[in-house]
Amino acid sequence: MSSTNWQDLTDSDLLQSCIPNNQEAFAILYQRYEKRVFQYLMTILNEATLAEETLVEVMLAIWKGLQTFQGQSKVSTWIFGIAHHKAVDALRKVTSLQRGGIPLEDIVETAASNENPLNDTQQKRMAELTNQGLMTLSPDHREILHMAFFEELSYPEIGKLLDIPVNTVKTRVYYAKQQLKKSLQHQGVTKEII
Amino acid sequence: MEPEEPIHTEATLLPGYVSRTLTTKEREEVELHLESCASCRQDLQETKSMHTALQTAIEKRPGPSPAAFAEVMRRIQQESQSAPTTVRQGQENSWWESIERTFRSLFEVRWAPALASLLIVGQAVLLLSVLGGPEGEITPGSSPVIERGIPPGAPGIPRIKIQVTFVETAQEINIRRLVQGLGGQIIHGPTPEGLYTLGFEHKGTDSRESILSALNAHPDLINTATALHP
Repeated sequence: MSSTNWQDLTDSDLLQSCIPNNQEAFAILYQRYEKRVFQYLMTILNEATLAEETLVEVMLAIWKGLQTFQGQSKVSTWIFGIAHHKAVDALRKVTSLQRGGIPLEDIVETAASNENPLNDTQQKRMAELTNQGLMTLSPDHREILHMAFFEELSYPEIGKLLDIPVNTVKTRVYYAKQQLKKSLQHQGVTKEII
Repeated sequence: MEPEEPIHTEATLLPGYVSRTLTTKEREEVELHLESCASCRQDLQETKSMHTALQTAIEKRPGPSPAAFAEVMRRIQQESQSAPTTVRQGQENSWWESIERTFRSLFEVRWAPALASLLIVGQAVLLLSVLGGPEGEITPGSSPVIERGIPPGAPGIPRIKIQVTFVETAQEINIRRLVQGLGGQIIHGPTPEGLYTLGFEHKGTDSRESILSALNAHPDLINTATALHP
């Protein structure tokens, strides 16, 4: 049974396959989540090196905690829960200013795409402005917008992940959205984005 | 942060409406409300645009470098090598290899002297701890030998272990100041659930309670604190 087609497994089955210390299965789980977790960490930490260091810690915590997954939530919710705690821990230890790292907007600047040039320029501009606006918000607001708009998690899922009531999720998403709108208006870019 | 005007309950559901994560009942409520509320209809358009903009912005970010994957796998392998028994269990050897290993182990006698030495050392440590160990705090069911093995650099002094969750906005410097001020240190964490374990030197019969009180006196830093029993 060494020819297991890992890619076809659901998250839950893949995670179960990792449990008897199966590094091959874990490598697939890693690849399935690395970009999503990294993007989430970038939203909160806004610094590529720190986000990558934290990604390593998150993945190791997943590996060590495989046995603790109870199956009461989705695997993704469990993984993002771990990422949330690690991100909070990383934020405590260091701020972007202290590290003097590469700001997110610079990374976006270098992120090249080879699609239609006109479309690409517009998209790139939009991405830049949105990222700049996003980074003016508090980490809490950035995080909840990421979860609601990018990960498209439901309000109860977000509540469980952040350990806050569903009504708090609703209002926090609402005010985060308002803050982002204000920030974009302040930059005079509202018409381009909203 | 305060709203300039009262917000409609349905307006707080619009992000979920756009990302299709609402329940059917909530979705129907929103749709009914939108029919009669122009400001929420405008808000819906803005929310849709913001949804697209954020999706594009985040999607366009580069992923992590392959070095992160290499580092994770290197550390997993390193840890597996330092825990040979679990590695053996996990490795999928052929059935023949496992049978062969089992039979070979029956005739393997090198472990016998090592086991005997271990038993003698274990007995000696147990005896010493009963005769001359720290007073009072070790409960009859606990294992002083195991307890002694935990604190590096503090031989003979049992450790109080307290599991805590920190307030998310608490700064590390303030946490460190509090924990070190009480003579402790963070010895583990965070777990996947965000728990940290703090270790403190055991300095008297009521020191566990006094440390717990001192921690709980800082609700700006400590969310929950529970003593772990050995």
